[in-house]
Amino acid sequence: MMLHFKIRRLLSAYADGELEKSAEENIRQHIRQCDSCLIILDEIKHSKKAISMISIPTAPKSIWKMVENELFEAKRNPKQQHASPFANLLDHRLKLILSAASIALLLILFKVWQFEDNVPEMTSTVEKHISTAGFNYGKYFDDIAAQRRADGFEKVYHGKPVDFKTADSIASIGDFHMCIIPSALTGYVLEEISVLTDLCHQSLEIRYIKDGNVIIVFQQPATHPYSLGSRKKEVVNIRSVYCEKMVVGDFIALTWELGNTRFVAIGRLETADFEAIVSASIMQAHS
Amino acid sequence: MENEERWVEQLKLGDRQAFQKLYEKYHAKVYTTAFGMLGNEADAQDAVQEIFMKIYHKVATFDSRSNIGTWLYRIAVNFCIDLKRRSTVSRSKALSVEETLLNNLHDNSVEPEKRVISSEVQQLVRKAITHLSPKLRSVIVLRDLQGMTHMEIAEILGCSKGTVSSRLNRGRRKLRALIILAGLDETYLSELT
Repeated sequence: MMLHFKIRRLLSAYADGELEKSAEENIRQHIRQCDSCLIILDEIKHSKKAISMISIPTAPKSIWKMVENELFEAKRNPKQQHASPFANLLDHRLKLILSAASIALLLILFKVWQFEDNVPEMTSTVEKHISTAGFNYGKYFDDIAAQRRADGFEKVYHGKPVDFKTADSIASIGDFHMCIIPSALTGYVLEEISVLTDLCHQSLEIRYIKDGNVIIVFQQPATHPYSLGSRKKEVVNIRSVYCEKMVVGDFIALTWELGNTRFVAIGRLETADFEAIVSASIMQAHS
Repeated sequence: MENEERWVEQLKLGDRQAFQKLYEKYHAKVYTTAFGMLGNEADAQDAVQEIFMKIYHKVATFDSRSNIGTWLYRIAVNFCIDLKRRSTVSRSKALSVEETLLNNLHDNSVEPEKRVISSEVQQLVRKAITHLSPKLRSVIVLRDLQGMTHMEIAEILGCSKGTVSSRLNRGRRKLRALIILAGLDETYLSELT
């Protein structure tokens, strides 16, 4: 007989008639004898039924008129002209260049701002990286930082407090506490990341991908105490390297080991994009 | 098939008729997706308009070997997630899901026995869906409102079929809990099936 957790994973597929005959029969037999799995199946069915009661209104015809007007009619007026898809590619490139320039400017301004505020000089490479990238500890993590000090960590750095009321996402994965705040200049930035400097080692690479999606990749010795916490992680295979993956809210963290080094990638991204970046990092490390 | 390829090429050239054909073919489903993801008609209408404008501007980057429907739904789902994300109030000020649902639904002007009527149940379920996380909401909308297969959903969301199934499990169970928490009688819910 299949185990409960295996059965439970398949219950939605069973309810949707998505399983092959043999798997379907296994589940049917199991739920005849197992009340707890039957209860879960009933919950799933209740939910399906409740959703099926929603009546979907018809899309008004006025939407096409508006789209048509925006895209085609406005072309007649040069001031409102919308680019064709090809011209838009050029626009896209221009936007990318402008975005990159904006980020560079932001980083420079941030550095100047930090300098003016007499922030204590960074001593370790990692701290320097964090500071340069615009990451700092803020008010939100005061308690965490205090706790870390109490735990014997010395290099807990405090930067300027950030207004977390504007935060778009806040999440903690193990020892990492992250916050994404919308920025008028760059769309979204990973404004705050609490990384215990003792957990990082040398490399901290920051990648801005697109609005709202930010990722950092860093290394630490493989022997270092585990930093993503003790919760159960999914194992994924990327370029023949086994990675441990954890998803918390909008955030994903992946870790993998090459030789004596453990790599950690952490951020907010769509899974496919995230794995593509990790894949590129693995390739880079191999080369 | 050749017709489809020619049509996509015309789309890439910004042809008006080809684009209108695309709109006519997919707008109803995109509207359903937006309605499910955003929870109300006004936002869904705005979203459909924005989504098709986005599609027009991005179609030149579409890989003709892929399925245009899958590509289009991916844009629609991501747009709605992003829209919802941007409009979300800060967590520190945000009411909990339970508070929001209870505030919305426990309107004293409505007699308790009349509360659980079809239209209110619909409203309640729609609101509950919008309180699911984007990942759970997407699979529920694509499966239970659009009627897509797990495989189709997996292609749109770029994940495995197993992931879709497991997200549906979590999403449906959480949805049921939210609906009951918001005041819908559990017995009534059981009688639906």
